Amino acid sequence: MPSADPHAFASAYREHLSWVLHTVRRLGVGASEQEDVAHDVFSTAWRKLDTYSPERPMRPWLFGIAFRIVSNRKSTRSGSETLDPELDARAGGAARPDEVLEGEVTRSHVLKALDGLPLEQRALFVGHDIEQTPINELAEQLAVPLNTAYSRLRLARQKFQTTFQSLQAGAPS
Amino acid sequence: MTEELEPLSDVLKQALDAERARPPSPDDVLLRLSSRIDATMAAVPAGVAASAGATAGAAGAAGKVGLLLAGLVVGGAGGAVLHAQLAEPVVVERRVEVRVEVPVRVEVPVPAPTPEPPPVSVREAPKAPAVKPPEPPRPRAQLELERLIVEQASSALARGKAAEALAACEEHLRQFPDGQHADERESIAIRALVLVGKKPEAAARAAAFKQRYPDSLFIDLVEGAAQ
Repeated sequence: MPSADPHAFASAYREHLSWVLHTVRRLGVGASEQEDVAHDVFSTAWRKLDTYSPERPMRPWLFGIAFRIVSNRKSTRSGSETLDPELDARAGGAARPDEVLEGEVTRSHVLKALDGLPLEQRALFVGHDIEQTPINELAEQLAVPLNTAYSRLRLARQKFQTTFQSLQAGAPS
Repeated sequence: MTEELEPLSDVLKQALDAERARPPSPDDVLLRLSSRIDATMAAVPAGVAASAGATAGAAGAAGKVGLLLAGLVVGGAGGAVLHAQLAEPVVVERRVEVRVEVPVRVEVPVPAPTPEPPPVSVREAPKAPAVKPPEPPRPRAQLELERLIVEQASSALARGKAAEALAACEEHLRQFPDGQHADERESIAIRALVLVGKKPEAAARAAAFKQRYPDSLFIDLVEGAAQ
């Protein structure tokens, strides 16, 4: 396996910063810990750079690292802790047309519905259905058999859909 | 076996599209995070796990640092507090094996005395140049371990976890009382003491800090905290 170039990584990792922050949030890390966890993801990636093949996309590899770090943290938050209204407001900018608001409500419901999933199912759902990573690659990065990955994803979808639809039904129109 | 997944409903597709379109994180968050990552990359070599398998010569030193790390992770309250972060896979254990550089005492070669006829006098004996051997370098792994502990303390303080920061500072004090980052450790400890309400202890430690590290970059922080 060709080894990754540390200099290339050091100059390229910034393009994944926001994505990693979003990913750890989707995996259930509370707002107060997202930066720390994202830092841990990149620190670990840097230290394990020898395990990365530059011929493959970086994000699935980072996703696997993020999943393991989140799994190891006892302090993974759930529920409303996942949400960060301040960050949402700042990221949305000053102008907040209706479609932006609607998008934020939908995203808020997505995160809440994700909170109802066990981490193993959640990771499959986030990795496959949100990040659109092929399931075989995802199974490899998450170190689960392919059939297990399919089973978990199916369960995750069922639970997610039920929760999400009930949240949407209760949302103001 | 090939399995097929049912296609997602249109409603879910739209919802997940919206989630994928989540706006990027604020610039100040990204800047702060990249600064921390840059600092880590500057302090730690990349892919240290790649060359795992220390040489026999380094094994002793690696074992010694490994014991230090074990003490850090499982020994005492400080180690217990730090465990959650240090236990993250590979970060600690494997890098120690590699980045240990066995300090080499540099001996300046002194020319061997050439056999000569009996010296005429002591004053006429050739003198070796008076070169003082340089200080042996500190093992790199030690420096990185020290830096790691200070980072843990700093990170904990930044998250408002003063007790955790203090435990890390105690660990640093135990292992590196006069380390390269001793002033930073003290500045963190003083601010953490203020946070937990131990202001007299913080003030005493701040006074000692100003006396010992009058030119420290952290002096303003210490003075501000102790007021």
